[in-house]
Amino acid sequence: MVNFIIRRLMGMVPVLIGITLITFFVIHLSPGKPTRLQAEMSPKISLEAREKLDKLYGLDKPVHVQYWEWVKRLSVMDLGKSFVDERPVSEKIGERIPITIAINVLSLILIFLVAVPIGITSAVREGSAYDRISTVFVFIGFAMPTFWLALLLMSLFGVNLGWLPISGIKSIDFEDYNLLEKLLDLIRHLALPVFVSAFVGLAGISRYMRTSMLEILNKDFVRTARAKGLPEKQVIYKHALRNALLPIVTIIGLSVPGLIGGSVIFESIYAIPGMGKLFYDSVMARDYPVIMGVLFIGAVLTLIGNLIADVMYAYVDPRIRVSGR
Amino acid sequence: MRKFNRLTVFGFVVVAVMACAALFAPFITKHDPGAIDLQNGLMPPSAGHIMGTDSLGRDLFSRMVFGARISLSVGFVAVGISVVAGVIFGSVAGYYGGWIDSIISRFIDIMLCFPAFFLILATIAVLGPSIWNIMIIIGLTSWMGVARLIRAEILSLKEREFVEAARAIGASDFRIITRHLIPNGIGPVLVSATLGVAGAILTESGLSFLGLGVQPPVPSWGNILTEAKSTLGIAWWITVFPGLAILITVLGYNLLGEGLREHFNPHRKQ
Amino acid sequence: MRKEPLLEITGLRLDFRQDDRIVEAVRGVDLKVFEGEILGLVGESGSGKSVTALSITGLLPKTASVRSGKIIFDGMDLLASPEEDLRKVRGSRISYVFQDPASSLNPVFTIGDQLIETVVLHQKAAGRGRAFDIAVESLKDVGMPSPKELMSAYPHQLSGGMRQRVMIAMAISCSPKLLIADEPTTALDVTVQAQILELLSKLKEELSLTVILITHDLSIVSQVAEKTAVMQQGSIVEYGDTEMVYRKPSHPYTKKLIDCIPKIGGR
Repeated sequence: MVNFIIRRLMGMVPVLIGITLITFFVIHLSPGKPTRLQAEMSPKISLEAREKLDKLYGLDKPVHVQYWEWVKRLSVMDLGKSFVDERPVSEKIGERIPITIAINVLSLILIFLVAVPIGITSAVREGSAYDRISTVFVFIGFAMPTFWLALLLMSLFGVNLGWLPISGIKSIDFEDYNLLEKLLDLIRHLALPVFVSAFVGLAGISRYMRTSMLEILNKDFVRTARAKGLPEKQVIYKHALRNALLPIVTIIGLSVPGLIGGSVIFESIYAIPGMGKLFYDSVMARDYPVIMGVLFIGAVLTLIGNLIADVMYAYVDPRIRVSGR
Repeated sequence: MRKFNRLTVFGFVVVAVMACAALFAPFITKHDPGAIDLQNGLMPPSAGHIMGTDSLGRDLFSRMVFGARISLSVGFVAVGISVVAGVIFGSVAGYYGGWIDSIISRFIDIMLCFPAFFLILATIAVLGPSIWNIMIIIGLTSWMGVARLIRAEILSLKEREFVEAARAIGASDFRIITRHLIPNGIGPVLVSATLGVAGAILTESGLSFLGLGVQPPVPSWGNILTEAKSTLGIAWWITVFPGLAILITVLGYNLLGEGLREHFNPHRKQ
Repeated sequence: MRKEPLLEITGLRLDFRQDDRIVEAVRGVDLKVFEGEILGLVGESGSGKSVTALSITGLLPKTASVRSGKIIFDGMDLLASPEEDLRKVRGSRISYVFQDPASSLNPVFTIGDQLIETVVLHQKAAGRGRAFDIAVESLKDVGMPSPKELMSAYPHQLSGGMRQRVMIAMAISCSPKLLIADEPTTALDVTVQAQILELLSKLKEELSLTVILITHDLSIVSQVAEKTAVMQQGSIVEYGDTEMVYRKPSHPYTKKLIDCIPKIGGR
């Protein structure tokens, strides 16, 4: 098991290097220097000031030197300073990450609690009305533009019904609330973002769960379980389910990049101060250090998510956890 | 099984209708999508404007129809690029194996670590939003799936006799790949491409919604919805129609894609 | 002296639904199995032998249905019994061993868990401790070395032959009267095949087990079965003492099967 983790971690190193290469490459794709574009946004900067900026960001040096400088700084977690407000990028990201991670974790929990049972029931009742209706919902889920969903929900719950707040994560008098009220306030603010974030995942995971379960239900060991005289409930929920759930762990790991990427949209719409909104704002402002930083961190988070998923899978599947003869 | 067929037909019909709307846009719209008429801003659907008008008095229906052109062409070109890139990378990796395969597969793994939307937004931040840019960027960030598919197909086909035979008569690698191996892998690629168009439309509309895709005044379903944010509750038609259009079109492509998948790879039922 | 058969199948008809077509898989099968004997049920794939076996305790897949017939086991009318009663019969009075031990055991549970599960299910009096001992006994009965250690092993850690022994152990753990083995040796190496067949014979003797041995291989049947039934396209075309069937087959199909057995230094 430990060997497995070590091997995985070592395999991650080239990927990490590749991530830095691509991140760097993307940002330096522009025909001019990043500072020139930045300067174009605020034309008052003189040539002299621009040259000073160039020197500051090391942009007057050849490309591969720039890359090396950047990687060196990365290894000490120095992501540079924002063009917009000169604050360290790592600080800006650091204060936003917890919220984005919190929402993503909540989405994953929601997905797991809702999509998995739906998928299982659809498989067990294959072909029934329940199955067909849930398939319809799954397809609609796949086709739904999340920003539209966010708008619709905003309109329905926020504007028309006024049940839920539509922006931010706390109300204005948050500090005055007691613990329970604070919790409730948080929940009310996070309800819509978490739902929108989880929406596509709900469709995907329930479909996947259905497929996985159907496949398992056709396996020989399910027939053995029945032949032993086990009641159908045990056959399904003990023997079949345990096996069908195994790949779900990996799938959940694979949905991390989708969740992180999707955060841009609903965080902007619902004014959530998370990584997605930071990214959006920095894109609009052409704040390259921040863009690079978030891009890099986003990829690293995905890498970590995959690692966790792999390790969990290795733990949960005895065929990997306990080595064979 | 029959249920799928009906849905696949529905998907096909939707796809065809949207394609026709896009192609014949000038012929089915009464109004000029760019015609500003401030007197008649934010009018609900009526006989004159069947989908109402936006805040500048432009006819929503014609903007939607021309928007179909944009969304669909972005979808097609982007998918075209991703398929070409994917087929090239995937077939080279699958056919030559060895270190070439290792490098390409690593590359794919690395690309997949980036949340797609982040990568796209970052590139747009650097290169600026324009229709061509979005098409290329979406294309170049979604080829990985196709590459893996083609690679898998070729890996399994590579050892078959007809490849040996072709080599024996002196066919070049290029010929073998293009004439023999790729055509066999076309099925899954077609499925991937159809589903890819759906995804590309969703991505483009998301980008346009955020103001980083198709730039106004060129209409795209996504950027019409940007206005919807500020007219929520006042003008329901600006929110409902474009969103519904995206939903139905993407649904159509998804259903068609799934139907094609069944066709090429029928479910093994007991 | 005629005794009553332990299991009697009369006029069994089974249909299969295949892509909107109905296929008759079993067309009027009559079969008698007497206590203490091994009956070899021989036929090609598609002859309906496996489905017949599954129908005995109602284990048919959803696409199959019994059209008519009667199955009497030890005085019990199985086809007319409700699911509740059938479940009590499965695993405790009639047990199965299937073809592919690699896929017939649940990969995520230990051997021990799967064995104990059966015991606890059918012998309500047994607590987990007692169940553990019974399971270990079963493993000993099938000739497994170090049975106690084996209890905490996972299926993938065992070889094919060992897995099949575990399947058999699971099947006999509740002392059933009838064991139905559906192609138990087909997925195994030839050397292991012989061992498993030997094991089945031994168990028959030691535990007074009755066995239906289903296979496509007539030579296997000739090694261990006292009676042989030959099935072709859903009906029994030959039935009798194995010796007789071998020496004087009455049906042309049986003759063909016998001819197919490689005779090099053979039986």
